Amino acid sequence: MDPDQGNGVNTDQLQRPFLGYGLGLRPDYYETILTTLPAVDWFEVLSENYMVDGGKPLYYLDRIREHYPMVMHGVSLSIGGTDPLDRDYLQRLKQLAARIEPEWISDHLCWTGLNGHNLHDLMPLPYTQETVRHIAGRVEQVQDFLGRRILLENVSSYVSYQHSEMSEWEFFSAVAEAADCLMLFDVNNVYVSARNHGFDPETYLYGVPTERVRQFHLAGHTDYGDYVIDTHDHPIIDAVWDLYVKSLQHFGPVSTMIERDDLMPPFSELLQELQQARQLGSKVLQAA
Amino acid sequence: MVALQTLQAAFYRRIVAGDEQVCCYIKSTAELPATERLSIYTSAYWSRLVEVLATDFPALHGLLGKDDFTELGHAYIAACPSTYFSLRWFGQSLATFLAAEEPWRSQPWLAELAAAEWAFVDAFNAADAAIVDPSEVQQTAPGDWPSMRFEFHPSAACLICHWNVMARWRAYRESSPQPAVETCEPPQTVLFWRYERVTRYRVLEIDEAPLLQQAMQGADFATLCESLANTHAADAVAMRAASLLKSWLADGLVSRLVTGPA
Repeated sequence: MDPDQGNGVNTDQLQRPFLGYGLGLRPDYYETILTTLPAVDWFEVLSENYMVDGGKPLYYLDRIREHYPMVMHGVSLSIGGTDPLDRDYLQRLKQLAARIEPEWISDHLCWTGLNGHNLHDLMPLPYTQETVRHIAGRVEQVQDFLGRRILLENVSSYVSYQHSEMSEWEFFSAVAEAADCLMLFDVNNVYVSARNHGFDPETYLYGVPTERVRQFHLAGHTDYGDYVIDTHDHPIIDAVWDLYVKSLQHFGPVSTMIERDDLMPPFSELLQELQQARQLGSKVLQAA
Repeated sequence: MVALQTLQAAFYRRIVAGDEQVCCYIKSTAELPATERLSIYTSAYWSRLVEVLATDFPALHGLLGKDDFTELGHAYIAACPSTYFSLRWFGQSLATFLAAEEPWRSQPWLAELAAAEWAFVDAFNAADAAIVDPSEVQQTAPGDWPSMRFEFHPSAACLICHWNVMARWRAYRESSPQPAVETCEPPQTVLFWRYERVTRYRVLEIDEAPLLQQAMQGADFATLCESLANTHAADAVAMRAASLLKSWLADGLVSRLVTGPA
C-alpha cells in the first residue's frame, strides 16, 4: 500500500516546478498552434527533430517558443548503451537547449544501439546492480556536460531478462538515486509493461521515490490481447486514466503531458483529451 | 551473469540477423514465449525503418509498390544500418545503393529518382540564410557589376538527370498517368532549393545550367557573361545574363551579393 496515499504532497518542499498540462509539439499541428495559440500550458519537443541546420521545424519551434514554455525529450541518448556516449549528439542537445531554454531535458532508461549502429528503438535493460552502476556513471557525464540534472523515463518493454535482480520500479528508483537524476513517470508505459509482464501497476507506482518525479506522460497504446504495444496512436484508455488519478494522489501536482505520434487526430481532439487530464488533475489535487 | 555488452550484442544480432542466441537470456511466459516477445522488437525495427524510407522517398515507394519497396528497404537496411542519432540521415545512401545493387541497378532511373527525392530532403533541412532583395542589385553601382559575385542559399543544389525522373515524380505527385521511362537528351539539370520554408525544384534551361553552377562556384558577373558569349550573340549576352540573375533573385536563391576583388 501507499504510505503517502491520501496525505497529499507539498510540492514546495519537493521544489518541483508545476508547468500544468502540456502536449507534444508535432509538425501536423505547427500552423494550428501558431495561429490559434491554444490553451495548452506547455509543449514537449522531440529533441532530435530539431537537430537540423534550418528550415520549417526550427522556424516553428522558435515562434511557438515565444508563446509557450517547453521541455526537451530525446530518444537517442542511449544512457544504458555500452558504446561511449555520443559527444556529437550531446553537443547538439546542448545547442538546442541554449536555443529554446527548456524547463528540463529528458530521455529514456534504455539502450538504443551498439557499435555505432542505431536501432532507433527503446531497448530494454536487465535490472541488475551492474546496470545501475553503469548508467549512474553515464548520467553523471551527461549532467556534467549539460550543466543540469536530466529526467529519465521508464519505457514500455516486451521482454524481461532471466538474470534481472530486482523489479523494474526498484531498478528505476535505484538508477535515479545512484545517478541523482530526476524521473519522468510514464503512466501508460507502467500500464503497458504491467500487462506484458504481469505485475501490479500500483505496486510500481508506490515504489518510486516521490521527490524525484518531475513529469508524467500519458498516451494511448494498442492492445493485442496477450500483449500490449506502446504505439501512441490511440486515445488514452480508462485503465490508464485510473492509474493517472492514483499517480496524482500519490505524487501530488506533476506536470502532465499527452503523447501522440501516429494516426494524428484533429488538434481539437487532443485538446479535449488534455482537458480531461486537467479536470482530473484539478479534482484530485483540490481533494488532497 | 551475462555482461551488459554481451547481452546487447546478442539482442542486436537477433534484431538484424535473426540470431536466436539471445533467447536464453529472456523469460518466456505461458501467454508469450521469448521468441515472440523478441519478435515485437524485430518487427518494429524493420517496419519503422522501411516507413522512414517510404516517407523520404514517396514517389519511389509509390512507383515500386509496397511489396517491392519493402524488399528494397530490407536490403538497404541490412546493407546500410543507421549510424546517426537522427533518422533524418537514414536514407542518404539509398540512391548510391540502388545504382550499385541488382536488381535495381539495371533500372538506373530508380537511383536517379531516389537522388531527386533525397535532394528534397536535403533542401528541407538545409541551414537558413538571408535572401537578397532584387532591389539590392539595382542599387549596385554600374562599375561594380563585373566583379559582382553571389552567395547562394544553403539549400540550393543541382542534380543532373539522364532519365525523365522529374516528369515521373511530378505525375506521381499529381496522381496523373505515369509517362514511360525515357532518357533525357540532353540530360536535364534540376535545381532544388527551399524558399519560404517550402522545397522547390526547377529544370534549368540549357544555357542556364552551366552558368548557375559557375555562379555557385563563385564566378563573377563578368565571367558569367564571357561564358554566355560562347553560345549567344554578343549583343544578347548582357540581356540574357541580367535576365537569369533576375530570375535567381526572384526565386530567392541568392543570399548575398559581393562586389570588389575576390
